[in-house]
Amino acid sequence: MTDQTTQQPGGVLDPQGALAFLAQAGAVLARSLDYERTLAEVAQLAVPDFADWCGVDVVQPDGSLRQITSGHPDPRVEEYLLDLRRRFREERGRSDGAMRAIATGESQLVSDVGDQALIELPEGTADLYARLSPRSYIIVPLVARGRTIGALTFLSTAEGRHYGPADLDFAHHLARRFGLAVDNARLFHEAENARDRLAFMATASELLSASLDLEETLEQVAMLAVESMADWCAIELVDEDGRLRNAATAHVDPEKVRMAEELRERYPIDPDDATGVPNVIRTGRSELYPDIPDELLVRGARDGEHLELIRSLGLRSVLVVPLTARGRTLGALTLVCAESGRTYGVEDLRFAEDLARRAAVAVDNSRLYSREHRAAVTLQQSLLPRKLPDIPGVEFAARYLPATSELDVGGDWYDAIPLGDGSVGVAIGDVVGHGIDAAAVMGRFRNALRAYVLDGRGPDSAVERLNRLTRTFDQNDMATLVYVVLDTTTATGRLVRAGHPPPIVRHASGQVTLVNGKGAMPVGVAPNVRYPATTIELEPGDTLLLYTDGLVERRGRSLESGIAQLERVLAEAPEPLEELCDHLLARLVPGEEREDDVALLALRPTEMDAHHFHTTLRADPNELSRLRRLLMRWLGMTHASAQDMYDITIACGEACANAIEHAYGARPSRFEVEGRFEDDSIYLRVRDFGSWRPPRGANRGRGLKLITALMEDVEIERGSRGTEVRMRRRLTEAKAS
Amino acid sequence: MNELATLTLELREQVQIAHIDGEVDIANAASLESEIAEAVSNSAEGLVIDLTGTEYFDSSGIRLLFELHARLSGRRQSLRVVVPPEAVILSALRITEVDQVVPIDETVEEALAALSGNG
Repeated sequence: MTDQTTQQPGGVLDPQGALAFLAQAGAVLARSLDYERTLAEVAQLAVPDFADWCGVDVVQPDGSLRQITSGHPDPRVEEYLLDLRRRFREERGRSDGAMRAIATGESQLVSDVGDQALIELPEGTADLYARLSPRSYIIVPLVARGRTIGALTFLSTAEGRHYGPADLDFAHHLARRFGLAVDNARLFHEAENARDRLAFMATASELLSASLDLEETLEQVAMLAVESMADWCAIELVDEDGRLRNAATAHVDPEKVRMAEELRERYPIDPDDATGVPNVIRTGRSELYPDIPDELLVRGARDGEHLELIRSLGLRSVLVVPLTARGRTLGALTLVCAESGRTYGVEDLRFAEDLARRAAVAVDNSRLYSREHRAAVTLQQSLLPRKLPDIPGVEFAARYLPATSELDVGGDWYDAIPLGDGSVGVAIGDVVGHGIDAAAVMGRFRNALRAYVLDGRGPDSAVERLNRLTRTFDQNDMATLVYVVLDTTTATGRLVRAGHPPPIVRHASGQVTLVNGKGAMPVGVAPNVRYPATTIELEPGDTLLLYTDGLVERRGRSLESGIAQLERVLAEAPEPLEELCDHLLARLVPGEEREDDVALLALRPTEMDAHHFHTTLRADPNELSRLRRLLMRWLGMTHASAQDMYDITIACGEACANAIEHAYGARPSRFEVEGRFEDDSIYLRVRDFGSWRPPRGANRGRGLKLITALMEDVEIERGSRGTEVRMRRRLTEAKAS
Repeated sequence: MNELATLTLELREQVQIAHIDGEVDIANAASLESEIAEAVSNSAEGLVIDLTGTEYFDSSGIRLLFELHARLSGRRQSLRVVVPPEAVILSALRITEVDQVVPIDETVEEALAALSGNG
């Protein structure tokens, strides 16, 4: 693209100015992947050299427009311009300039607006309008990847600055450059958002599931919402007697919370209101107000003072969603954007509805169950792992459902303990007894087993010690359990079963087998019991299921027939591990009443793809041998010869040793190994996130020498964020295909 | 699962033999080096490091060989390394020119014969 367009006579910018502008724009766009900032900076760039005000409108997934403006140096003027624009939109609807540019893809150039105001002006603002007197404007569509994604509006209010055809060309030029950058930033923003939202939901779910004090929990959820997606959050609940009650209000500024409370006290929510919280609770349907015009506030205000108060809150965008559980609406969650200037769209609404559903379940549970039940459940959940470990080579999923009656909440537990040498210890157990005491005893069992296991005990010895320890507990504590140590690189396990129902393997072929092993009695029953370990061999894609008797035991039915049913259900369960767990629960413990706790833990050695290899490792010398085993397993799937496999492994090991050395001093860090098998070649990439250190001494030098001698196309890239080594080896004696 | 390599020390006719079975990398090279160095007494005629059972031997293992060589030559003791000709680990030793400094034999017997011949 040349700058000829800007050199035509009559442009607002001289050629020099245009060039400088474009250079600056290029710099902004190149560095920025932050969506909001990209938009704002794009808008600000044009002011004041090219325009007095610039607006970027971007089409949202729901079809609405999101607008970021350059801002006017005078906030009063900015406010006024925004208001004008809102009115303009309301009056003109689809024929509004930006909307039209987006719908038709056509640009608009108005060189001289003239003296006539285009819309009816708010009372008493004729002066201001005259002073601002928009003289000229340009609107051009923003196009990226063949789609119109928005529009750019440039407004000139400066005396004598009227846009001409040369400026329109320049604006087109800008729009083309901005379009792609804005679209890239949007894609990045969406990906970030999705990640943020997952993290947010995980935190909220954790808060909600560990709730003992409901009010406090709802306050925390409201605070969480304020931290990430709202300036205001309020939760209203319907009391048993049908009255509305505020359960939580949050704003980053406590002063504002006080304001809102005051407001609510003086002007309580009218349960008969046609819109807002009362309506959402009545109908169970959400309300979304992407943009709040002043008229809406005027309509909603009870009197002048009320209007002033709500105006002072600066509401910009609002959504209200119902708290619904088991078909009943228990309250409403309100999210408000004000100071941040964000607006809500349909995606935000869906997200808020999801959050509200989870909050509703917590509210429902708290009403359903007594405090003691909740105490037992809370204790139990606090003792269970918050998150299963992330171990390459094996996938996990777990479920835990407490019994629904307070007396029956038991001491089921599960655990997964990374053992550092590529193996993982996996336990499931059930303490004999119920209630809060059993939950407490469970904690003792779980921790003791963890301690023995981390001490490097094999599964047999760990359980034998646990048994001996149990004999020293005050009461007659007993537990049944299964404990497996799985080597994730070979998918081989050693399993101990102490009075517990047998685990089940579902083979990748679909066949299902019980793992009875050499069973022994529960721990805590007798001293000096031997707990022999049985070897189990799994294949990638096989599923090992550990569970407690709550999954299979029902009144009036034998344990055997329960297990037989589990085998049938497991055989037909869906493949993805999370769905498999959900399927088992849905089929085996349907309904809301559970007489016993149900815990299950499924694990699966992951399948390797002959064409791709990927693993993330801790920057720890002890990880290297595990990496070698994984790499050899992968290379074994290709036609690499023994010498190929060894040489590639050595080269990769040397690159990894470098990566481990780079991680010096930092927090526990990780590095990444990726492989590709293509065109009879193995491509490897080793990436670390530490700072590069030049090879020290002959030894590291030898490592590099090995890499370059054994591999081809070796490239080492040292950046500020880490080092990347790329290399390739063509396999010898390639089989004819 | 925990021990990468097993070190077996054997004294034959005043020659210290160190059999390394398993894998040598940065996780265990330094400790192997000091264990072997300690085992070689002043009166020993030399040291044979037997890599017949070694499945993995990276630059930290090679460094171990150079270090031991330097240490022993100061005491006028010889170092020989045993690697079978078909072993996959051999190429890395040649690339790093270990064989220019430390003689490589195909069997322990050959290494012992060479040492006594020198002796």
